[in-house]
Amino acid sequence: MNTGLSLIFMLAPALVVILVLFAGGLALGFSQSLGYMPIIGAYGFNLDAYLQLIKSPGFVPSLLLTIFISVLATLLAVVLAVATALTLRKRFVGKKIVSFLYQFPLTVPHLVVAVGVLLLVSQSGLMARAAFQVGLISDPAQFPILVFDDLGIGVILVYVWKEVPFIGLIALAVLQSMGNDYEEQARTLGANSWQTFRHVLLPLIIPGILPGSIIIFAYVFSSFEVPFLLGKSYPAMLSVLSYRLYTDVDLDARPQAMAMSILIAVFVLILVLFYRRLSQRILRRSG
Amino acid sequence: MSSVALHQLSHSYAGSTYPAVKDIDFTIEKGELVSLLGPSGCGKTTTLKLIAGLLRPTSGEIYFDADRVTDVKPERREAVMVFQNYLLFPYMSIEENVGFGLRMRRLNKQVIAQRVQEILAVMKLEKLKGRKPAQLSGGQQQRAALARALVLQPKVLLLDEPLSNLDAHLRDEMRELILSIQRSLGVTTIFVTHDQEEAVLLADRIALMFDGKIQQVGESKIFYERPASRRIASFFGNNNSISGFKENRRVTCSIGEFLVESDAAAGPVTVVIRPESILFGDHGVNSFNALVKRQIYMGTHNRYRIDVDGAEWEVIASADSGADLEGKRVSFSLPPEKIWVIPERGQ
Ligand SMILES: Nc1ncnc2c1ncn2[C@@H]1O[C@H](COP(=O)(O)OP(=O)(O)OP(=O)(O)O)[C@@H](O)[C@H]1O
Ligand SMILES: [Mg+2]
Repeated sequence: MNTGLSLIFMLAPALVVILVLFAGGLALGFSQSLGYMPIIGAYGFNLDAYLQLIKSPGFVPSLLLTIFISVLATLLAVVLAVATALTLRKRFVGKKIVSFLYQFPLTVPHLVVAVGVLLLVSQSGLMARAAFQVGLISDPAQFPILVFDDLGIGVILVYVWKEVPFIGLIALAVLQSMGNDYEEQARTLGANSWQTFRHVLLPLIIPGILPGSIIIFAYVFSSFEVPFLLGKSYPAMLSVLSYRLYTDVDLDARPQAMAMSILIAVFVLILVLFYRRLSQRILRRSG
Repeated sequence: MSSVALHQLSHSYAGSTYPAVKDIDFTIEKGELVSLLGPSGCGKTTTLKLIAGLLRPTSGEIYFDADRVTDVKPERREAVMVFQNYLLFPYMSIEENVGFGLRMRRLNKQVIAQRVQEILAVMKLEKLKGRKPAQLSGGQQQRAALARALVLQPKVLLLDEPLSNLDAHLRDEMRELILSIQRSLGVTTIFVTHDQEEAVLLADRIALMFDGKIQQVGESKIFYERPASRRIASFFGNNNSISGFKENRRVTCSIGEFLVESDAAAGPVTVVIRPESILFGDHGVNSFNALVKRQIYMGTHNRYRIDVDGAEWEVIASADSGADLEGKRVSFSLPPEKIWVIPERGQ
């Protein structure tokens, strides 16, 4: 037996699982989104669910909010991650402790962070009460609205807090593996600190953190638990809409729920491609 | 082009108990090519980084001509360093790499293109300019790294072991290229190497460094003929030395008494003599007996290893001088004018 064939045989169990669960699930979801649901006696193949979704008044605000939150959260996480990695790579007193604290968010589930943020920064939360007690504000309602707010600040906060170390540790590994040499070379060739960062460090880091940041972007765009807990109910992120439709008692909403999931996947795909192009442009322009 | 003057320059790395470079006092003349020579870990790279401004000295001063540059940032010093491992930016083409420094200086695009073109031609890199560094051989990468530095017309060129990653044949070629470019541009150059032969072949002057200190500076000849210490003699391949005590023009040591012409002060000394200065036979003065342990025919000459009272010395004599001496006791003479006497200070 040749190696190619034996490889396929060895991979077969895994491939079967992936095909059945992933491709099967996708196909099922896709056919449901087209209105093919024999259980409730629907055998149509049409785009009704998609059209209804897109035409519904909440759709566009939700889409914009979703793009806003996922782009901003990813961007902030990447910027903070690179900045912190640049700092953490230097020697300083207490580096061990700081590094430990830095990695800590990785171990905390999103849900726990969301609940924590809720208890901490909502208008009835700990911080509002503390501010009220010490007289910074005269009424808890004066505390800035950070959860259930229009811009999803609470949601963004949770994601940034969670994902900074995720990207930061990758950036740190890249930085440490390349040492100071390239920077020193750039400096002696006449680049100042900013130019060295922009034209040497950044292009060396970007390929390393690109996959990680894409994962985060796709995750923020499509996961629902954090905006479900901390987001406004209208407009809500697309994932929350999808969840609501899916859990609707009326099975007629099921095609729309599936259509929403498919749409989310398509949007993620488009935006990720766009993001990759953008990073490559930055890389090329670094020369 | 400028001269480079180092005054009492020292540097200790953070967390290190002893200085990597200590009290360096040394001036490189305008347009000169100096080799900074020394064994691994002696502080050569540290010295270059201090001159480039990549490290701040713990104490001491650096001057380019009359300008104190000790506090000047590396990007403003106009001293360009080329690292041992080339460090071409992997995501840029060779052309972009070579133009990097000019772009950082925000020069006009046409000026940049023209100067890059010129230097690429000089370094024979025109055909490779569109490639990425990973698509170049070691020698080509080295040329690109040099081009990237030279295109800036630096006041001072700092080369850190530029030939050590090349094979022997390429090394000769690159050495000659560096030499001819240095001569034609007249750029003040410090060339770091741990290979004494390379230093001799290249440099106007050699600065020899051990343990973070410059031990001796001068033309290559003096390191062979008048080394300042036994260790320097040995670094330049001469292990023919013996300790003794000097009084007037006589040195007494374990194998007898020698006449010398040295004016060195009386006291404990080390006597050094070059392998080709030792003569076979009893020439009436400074003769002694030794066992020939090995005789090696080298084509134009013979090389002998002789046992001098426990120490192994080397003798080089013309090949026609004779028979097989291996295993025999033979007499040798040391011409007094060829004996180099090193006073042993404080030891
Ligand atoms: N970043 C650093 N931190 C601490 N000590 C260092 C550092 N870099 C070098 N040293 C030490 O300083 C001394 C001089 O190092 P340097 O790199 O200047 O030697 P070198 O002469 O260039 O050696 P080589 O020929 O191996 O390149 C060595 O003992 C080295 O261990
Ligand atoms: Mg070195």
